[in-house]
Amino acid sequence: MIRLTLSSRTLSHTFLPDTAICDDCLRELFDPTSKRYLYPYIGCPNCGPRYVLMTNLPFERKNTTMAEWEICPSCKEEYEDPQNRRYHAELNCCPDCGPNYYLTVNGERYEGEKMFRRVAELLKNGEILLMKNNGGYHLVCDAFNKEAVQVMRDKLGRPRKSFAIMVKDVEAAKEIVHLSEKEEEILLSKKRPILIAKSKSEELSSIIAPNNPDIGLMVPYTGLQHLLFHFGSPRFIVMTSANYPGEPTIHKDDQLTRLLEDFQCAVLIGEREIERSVDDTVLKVTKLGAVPFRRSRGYNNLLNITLPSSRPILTLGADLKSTITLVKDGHVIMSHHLGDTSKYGTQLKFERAVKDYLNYHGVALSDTIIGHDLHPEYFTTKFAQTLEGYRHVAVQHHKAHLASILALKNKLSEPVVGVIFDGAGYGEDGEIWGGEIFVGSVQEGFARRGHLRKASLIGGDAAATFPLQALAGFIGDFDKELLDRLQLPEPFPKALKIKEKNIRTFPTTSVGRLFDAVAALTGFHLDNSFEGEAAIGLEYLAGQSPIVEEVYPFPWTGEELDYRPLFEEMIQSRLKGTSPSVIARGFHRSLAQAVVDVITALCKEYDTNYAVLSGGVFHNSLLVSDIFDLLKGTNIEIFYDDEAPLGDNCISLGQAAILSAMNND
Amino acid sequence: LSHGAGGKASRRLIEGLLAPYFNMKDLNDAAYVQADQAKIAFTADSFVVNPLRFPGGSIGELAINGTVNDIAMSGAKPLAIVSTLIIEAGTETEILEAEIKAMQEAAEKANVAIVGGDTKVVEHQKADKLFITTAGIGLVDPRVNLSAGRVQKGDKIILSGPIGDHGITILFARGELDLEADIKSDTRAVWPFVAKLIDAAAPGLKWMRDPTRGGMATALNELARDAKVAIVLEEEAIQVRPEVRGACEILGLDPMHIANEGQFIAVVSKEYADDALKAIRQVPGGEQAAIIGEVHESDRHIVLSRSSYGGTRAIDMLVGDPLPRIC
Ligand SMILES: [Fe+3]
Ligand SMILES: [Mg+2]
Ligand SMILES: [Zn+2]
Ligand SMILES: [Zn+2]
Repeated sequence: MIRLTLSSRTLSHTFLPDTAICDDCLRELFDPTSKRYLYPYIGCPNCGPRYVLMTNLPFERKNTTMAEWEICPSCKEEYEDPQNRRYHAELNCCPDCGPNYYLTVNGERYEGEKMFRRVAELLKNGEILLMKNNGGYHLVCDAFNKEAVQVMRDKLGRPRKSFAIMVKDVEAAKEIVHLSEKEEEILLSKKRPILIAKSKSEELSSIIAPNNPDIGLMVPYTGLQHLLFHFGSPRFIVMTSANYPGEPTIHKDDQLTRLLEDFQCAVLIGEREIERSVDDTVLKVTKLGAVPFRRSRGYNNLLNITLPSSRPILTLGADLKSTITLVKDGHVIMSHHLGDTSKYGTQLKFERAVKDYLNYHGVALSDTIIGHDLHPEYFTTKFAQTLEGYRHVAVQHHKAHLASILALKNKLSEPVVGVIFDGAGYGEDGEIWGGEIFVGSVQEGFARRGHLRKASLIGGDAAATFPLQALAGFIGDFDKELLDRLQLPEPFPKALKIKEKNIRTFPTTSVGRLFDAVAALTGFHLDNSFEGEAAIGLEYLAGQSPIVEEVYPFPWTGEELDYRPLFEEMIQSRLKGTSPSVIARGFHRSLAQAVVDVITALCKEYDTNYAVLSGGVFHNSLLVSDIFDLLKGTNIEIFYDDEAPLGDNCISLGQAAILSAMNND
Repeated sequence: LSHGAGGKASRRLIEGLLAPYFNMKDLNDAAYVQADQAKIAFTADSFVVNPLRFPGGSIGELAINGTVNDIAMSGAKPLAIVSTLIIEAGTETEILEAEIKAMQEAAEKANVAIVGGDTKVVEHQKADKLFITTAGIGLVDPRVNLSAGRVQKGDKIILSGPIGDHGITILFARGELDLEADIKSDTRAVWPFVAKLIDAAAPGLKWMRDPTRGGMATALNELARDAKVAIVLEEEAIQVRPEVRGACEILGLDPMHIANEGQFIAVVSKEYADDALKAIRQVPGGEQAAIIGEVHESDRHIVLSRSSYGGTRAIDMLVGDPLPRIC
């Protein structure tokens, strides 16, 4: 049985995270005298998959998908010998007794070294490969092969979104991205996330991450991945999870049918079953720490914090980047990224996760306080209502954003000023919030102290799809002649009409839409083919203009951030012919200044030195770095946690923190 | 009460309040009444539309088509209609006359007689210009046996034509919004299609519904629930006119939630599905009919929609105006 010590208490058993292959195993993998020479399923008590294989707790072989493989006498001996480094290696196996890999391509089957050589050959020839990794299937191809990547884009319906790539080692990584010491450390950490780092290679960026200042990359975390490179696969390969947009990653062999029909490609199949799919973690280092965009593999675990609660708490998070959190005896177990619950496959995955979290930890639903978002139409809200818990509590979205950071910092009673900027969340007044300023503490509760001046969300979610439509929601009331001079294409004129007739037009304080609007004003007239596309493009555009040449007024009135003067001057600047990148750069600085003005004023008013920034908007490293620069010399400290998700992955944790602060008897 | 949008809310109202009091068992658009040898379908519906006239139709036309379609959906040939007009004092005679005329024309087209009725004038602001209630009877075709209980795994879902035209037309007309000049209501009587469908596939015909308020999503969710099955749709097979699709896109709406007034959904057993489809397509106006999905066995009584890039979505009933949720 695995025992985890936490503070003075112990939680007898819980999920273990999946970690990268260790150095000892890696050495054996390439040692011809080792019995596990070139054996992809090599592992030891210190490394390898865990959570993705578990069928129950505690973590013992019989409670994993390894149960169906009978251990051979030699492996058993290692398992039982306290002197052996594989003593109590639950998944212990070797080529004689364990599962193996095989490749099928055009009806032919390859194994062993021939298999790896064939894979390398295929990839070098620009073919696409489906490959089973620890937590699910990946689609793989040569990252520098334009045609191959384009085929991937066409078949997945993913026209512009970036692909993560895998490189052999840090040396290779340094050829394509800039790496700080901290970034290098993260890249090589046992958790092995996908690291978003600043691109060095325009050629590669133009293929895998157009209009994006960064490249997402990782180094091998399984024996299999090391073997690919060892046998001569291309040095830079796309390694993207095998799923259609929004759908869960495929992890069962029998789910491959549709992908195989579409791709007609080779498949590298591992015989060991995966119990549940866990996506790769994606994170980026900014001044707010190593911020996870997607908190997943390696991070699904017991958190190193406690939340006092007399009853178990289960919280269901948000809808698009869903996670769940379970609090038991004060211990906090936060799930990996479960995904976009508008997709049925994700709904099943989500429901399964809830069941597993409760069952494996022996928590009775009837005794549990269920937390969910305030949004009445979230799948997770509706699902919460089907759970027969002790009590249900709805938590406002942006308050959960704020509380999650404070929970991770263990600052539950500290009064702070919170600035929460994201795309959309359901507000306490039934309106769509997303540019929120709070004061208060988790313990005493937060009060909404201000917000972005209300704009119009024209066509509801359509405004999140079409940045030009978002723009109409900000400047639609401006002088008609001025708007005409901007000559903005459809859907801008249509959106103006819809707004004028007040059809499907919602008041919103969304800063996410503000970014979309500014992106549209500076030339991004496409639709958002993935979440944040316009905003990422705007940060990229701003990066083309390293010096701040213009700053625009964005006044804090004491109650709201008034974007009207901001847009008036940006429009004038555009009409004067100022380069879009100068405007984009100026916008970032202006918003940073506005945030700093708010924080400074409210910290003074409420007599605190602490502020928190959260919400997906703060993934923008330029904005964050401007804010930190502008705060230099003041006594204000921004609370952040190195591993705190700023996006909606954090919501379940924030909900749990807020619920734990309530009287739960 | 805010039960106007159709879907879940009005379902709750009917099941929670009306059904228990009236002791109603089968909640269908029309009820069956046995009269000596004949099986009669009997229904009533009220019409409140704003504006009264819109591209492609008007309240008078809807009042006839709505009721004859409910009769048709119970497998009956519409025979006769009675109507009640509730008129707000001060409503211009021309407006009234236009609607009476529209009713007459629609009845003629649908081949039913308007055999009686009543009018009431109420005080100013006690009604919005004109409300119409119609009740109708039809003669049930002895060859049909419609019941959600007969619907089973493998049955095909047939849709008579493109969806969303009516709801989007009304939305635009209400706001005097002229984004797409070419959208008009699809209001029409569907009996001619149903008659041919019965001729071609009566033994395999199991369930029909005209997806009015709440759209396809609501109609199919009710089917899934009543038949205790899952419905799996192929999104690309569902016809949506480009103008309607464009309008839905820009308004953040799902065509599946939009009202229709001239379309119907039929569930037909696999063996009869092709014949049924052919029969509907042969009637002018039915050319775009298509098999859009299939019935699956499942303990989740839900509606799923598969598309080649979008993956599989669960299509929920409409609760009201859909709220923004994209973060
Ligand atoms: Fe959010
Ligand atoms: Mg009706
Ligand atoms: Zn190891
Ligand atoms: Zn062995």
